[in-house]
Amino acid sequence: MIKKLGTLALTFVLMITLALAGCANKTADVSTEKNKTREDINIRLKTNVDSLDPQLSSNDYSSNAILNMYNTLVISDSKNNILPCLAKSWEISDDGLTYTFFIEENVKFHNNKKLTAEDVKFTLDRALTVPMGSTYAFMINRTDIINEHTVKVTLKEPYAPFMEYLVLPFYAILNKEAVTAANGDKFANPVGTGPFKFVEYKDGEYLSMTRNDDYFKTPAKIKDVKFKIIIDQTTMTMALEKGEIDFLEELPGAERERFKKDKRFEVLEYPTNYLHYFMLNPNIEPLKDKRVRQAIGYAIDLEAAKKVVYDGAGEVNYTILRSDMFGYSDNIPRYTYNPEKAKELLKEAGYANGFNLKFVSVDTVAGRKAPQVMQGYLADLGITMEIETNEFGVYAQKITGSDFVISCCATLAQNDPDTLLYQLFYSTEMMNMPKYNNPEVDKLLDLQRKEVNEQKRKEYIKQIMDIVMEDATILPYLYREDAATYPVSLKGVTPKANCIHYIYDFYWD
Amino acid sequence: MSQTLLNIKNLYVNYETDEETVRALNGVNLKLNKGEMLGLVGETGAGKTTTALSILKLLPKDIGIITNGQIEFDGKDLTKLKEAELRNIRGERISMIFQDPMTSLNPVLTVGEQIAEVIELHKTLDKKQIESKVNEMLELVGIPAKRKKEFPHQFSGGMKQRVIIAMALSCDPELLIADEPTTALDVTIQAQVLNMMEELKHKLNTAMLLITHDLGVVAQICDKVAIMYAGEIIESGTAEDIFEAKEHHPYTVGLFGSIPNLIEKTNRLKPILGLMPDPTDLPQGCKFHPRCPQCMEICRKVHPDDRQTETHTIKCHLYK
Amino acid sequence: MYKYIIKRLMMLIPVILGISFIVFSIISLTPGDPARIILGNHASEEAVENLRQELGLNEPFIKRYISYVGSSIKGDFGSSYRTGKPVFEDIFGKFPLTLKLALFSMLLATALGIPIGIISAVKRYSIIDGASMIFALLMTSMPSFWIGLMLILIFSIKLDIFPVTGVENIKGYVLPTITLASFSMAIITRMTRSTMLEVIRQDYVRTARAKGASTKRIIFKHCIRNALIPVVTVIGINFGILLGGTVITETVFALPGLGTLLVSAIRMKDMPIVMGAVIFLAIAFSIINLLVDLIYAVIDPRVKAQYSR
Repeated sequence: MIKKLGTLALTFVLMITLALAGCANKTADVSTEKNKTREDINIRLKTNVDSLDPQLSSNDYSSNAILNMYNTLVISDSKNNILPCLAKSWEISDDGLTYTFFIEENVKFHNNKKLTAEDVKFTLDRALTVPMGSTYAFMINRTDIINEHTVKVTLKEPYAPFMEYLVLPFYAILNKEAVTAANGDKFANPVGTGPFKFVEYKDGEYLSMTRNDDYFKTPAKIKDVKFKIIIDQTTMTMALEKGEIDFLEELPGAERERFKKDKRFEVLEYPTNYLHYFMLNPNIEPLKDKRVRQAIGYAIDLEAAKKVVYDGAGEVNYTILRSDMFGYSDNIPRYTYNPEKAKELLKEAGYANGFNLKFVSVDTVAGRKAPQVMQGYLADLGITMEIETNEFGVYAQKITGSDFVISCCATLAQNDPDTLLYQLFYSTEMMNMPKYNNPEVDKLLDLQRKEVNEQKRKEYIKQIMDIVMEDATILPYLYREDAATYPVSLKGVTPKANCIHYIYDFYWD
Repeated sequence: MSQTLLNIKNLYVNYETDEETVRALNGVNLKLNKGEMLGLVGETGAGKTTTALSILKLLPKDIGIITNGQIEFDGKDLTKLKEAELRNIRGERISMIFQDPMTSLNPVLTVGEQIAEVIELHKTLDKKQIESKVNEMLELVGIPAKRKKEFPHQFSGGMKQRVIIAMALSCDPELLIADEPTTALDVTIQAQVLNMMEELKHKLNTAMLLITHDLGVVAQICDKVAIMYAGEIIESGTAEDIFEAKEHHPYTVGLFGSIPNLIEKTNRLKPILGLMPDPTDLPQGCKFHPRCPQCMEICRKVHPDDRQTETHTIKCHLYK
Repeated sequence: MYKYIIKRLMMLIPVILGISFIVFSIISLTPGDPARIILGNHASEEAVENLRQELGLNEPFIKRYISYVGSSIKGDFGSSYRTGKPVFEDIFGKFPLTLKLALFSMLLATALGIPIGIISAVKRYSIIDGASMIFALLMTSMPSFWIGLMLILIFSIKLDIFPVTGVENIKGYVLPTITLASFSMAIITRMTRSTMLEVIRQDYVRTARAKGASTKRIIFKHCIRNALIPVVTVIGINFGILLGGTVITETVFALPGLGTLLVSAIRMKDMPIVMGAVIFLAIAFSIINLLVDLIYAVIDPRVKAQYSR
């Protein structure tokens, strides 16, 4: 009796709460009028800050946030053009080996010390020694001071995307004196030249900054910046609605329609350079046979998968390179959904009746959903796929140790394809986790990297693409689409494909 | 003749649960005079405790229901009293001693507190007076007053029962109901407690309803005896009536037959054959007839009436 | 009594040694490399190896455990792999919030749960009893993140009374406290009700009624103390669980507490933090248990007698 009543009451309470949740009668105050005069902003930060020293950070979310306290030599606009920042101009030698930067002269660090070539050299030299150096600074040979405001960077080999690297937080210019004094403490007070100065960091709570009124350009319009650490996505959207945060990224696909309809908010969707892809290990049976790998490529309807995994957000990709990237061409071979062809290939390879394999995945929303979708498509071919969902640590260990048959990963690409292709296919690269080893591809990758003639380089890239797509160790999936969401009265938001937001550009109106 | 203190008339009590109705009392008639000691005897389940609980209206809430009858105490019908009025009677004018001294005391309160409570509830005395009354009561039952600060777990069973007796007598009640006060105790302790109760009864001139299944105890200390069977008093009278009269209810005869007798040599005990009837499904006619060795035709159909001769009452078709 | 307390505290030593060994084994022997997690997928094998060396992760497991025990006896519990800060700086930084949350919600759960349970038992099968039992059933069946989100939706978004995140002022504690308290409160209510029903049936309660005590007096003087004995255990256990188990609520309300620290440390394989937090919680848990036992002694003289032996 009581139990029956309980069930009834539960249904009742559910109905009431859902009804309450459904009708938006009284809403929190995110009014445009009130916002217009504001000088502060609260931004959602997805994770804890892993380091206040940008060279010691391995977390993009964290380092993009702290970048607001620093400046890089150059910055990029939303079209990925390279623009001056601390370097007011630069010269690149004809052989592409040396880059000479002319540094702004009246820049002061937050500790009132003037920025000199000494600091730039210190930053670039240190980049070679820190753990992330081999990932981000592999191309640099040496840095020399020409005069107080000029430095010359010599590369090991010509490296076309070098300037794109200099935009990243890793290359934020550090203050030699402060960093030396910090002696490796990741949480020492950061001293940059940026438009905002460090105020306080509370682990798990927030990172706060305030305007640098001595900024070398016009000071920012926003005065107080607070990055609030909110991990949960639902909490994040509710905090936005309540006005407790003013800016968030990665609005889940399922929430986008709702916020788009809400007149108080702007939902700015923009393509990013984050490529999500599947990895097929060519060194383990039955994936040793490239026809099997190709069959998997043909088996999956990426458009349909996108709807399930990302609620339809993102730009499906078949060619690894995106159409606006250097070297892209319509002739790059691709795997579009073709189950008949997939079956045929499997039959040719002698797996007409399918086989078993295991997907090593990671415990995130996409990491759970993507393999499930794949599982369904592979089942059509008679392939039984088991899914192993791991904690991030276990997953990282397995994929970096090449301990998988099939897995998934994501990486930030540059507009220049060199980094991406090198990482994914060069035999000795860390990120080449399927351990793809093709001397021909290695040779071509080296050739394109050194090639200064754009036409010739494009040809090399086309050749690389033909081979690696044929070999199908990497099956591209999509380029993530992000959605920055904020009150309509916040202006100056100019999204960039590398997901870096310069709060310097933000203002209320 | 002495004054009637308690007069139970035609009392019916049912225990009603969702599943069944237990007919615990089926027309109990019982009379007790001031200062008298009445022994209520019967097998387990005969309705002795129910009778006692009915008097104080302590029947399990919402389950034990008085469906008919009156319980007159000093001229007032207790069944018609309100809870607040009853509270003034409980503990002060009628008090009760329960079967199991082990569980009848609150384990987290000192015995002193528990005795003091009943005094506090009914007498307007200051703290000091209460204290001295507690001391007096403890001494009365033979417990050193200094032990009042101790908790029940520090007392033995017999001592606990003494505490309960002290508690029951602290307000000089007119009626003391003792529900098998000695069953849970060792035999030696039983005798001590009984002696003490008898002594106290004389000292304080309290009327007593002693519930027991032990005829020996009854013979020893009771003025009057009532024998219960399946929720009825089937025989009652003075102690002489019960122990010495010629005519008895066959059940009473059986009851005596099941007591070992050391004086008269009997070869073996004669237990009453059969079991008490199921109180949810009582037999027609005389409730004892399925077990009665002298059962007649009429016994199966007609419920017998009381036959009264002076003080002796028997409910049986044998006697008209 | 003091002897008893000291004995109990001494018993903590083997308990902590045991717990620390188990936790250390689990973290060490399960897959996942802290150095790789810290540096991410992109870092080179060389950089990861260097960090591993630096953190001493290449030593054999037993050697690492012994050196951990050795240095922690000297008071050095190491530094977080992630932040580089001494372990207890991190833990003490997070603990006050968790402690406050746990305390507030236990107070709320107790202050509501016990009276409701008592009323339910006394007025058994009444409307109040039915309503509170249904309420308790709801509270135990609803997952706490859901309760949290619903509270936010109703009280923060719709009614605009409390903030969604943060505990800058006392208002911020209200919703997380209710969220955390809901389960404990339901348990306490049900426990109180059932023990009260048990106690009401006891002989000594009948004795008290026979004395002429009023229902109110019987309940307050005779029943509650007896009924509370098992409830105190439940409160103690729940409080212990809350100290380490606030992580879901902390996540929903974006609060930086010990639960979040511990869970993220486990994810990161941040051994020093995990060990420090677990040892800290074990001590806290034991002390709470000890307090519960001491409260027993206050409530129940029988227990007190045992301790003084």
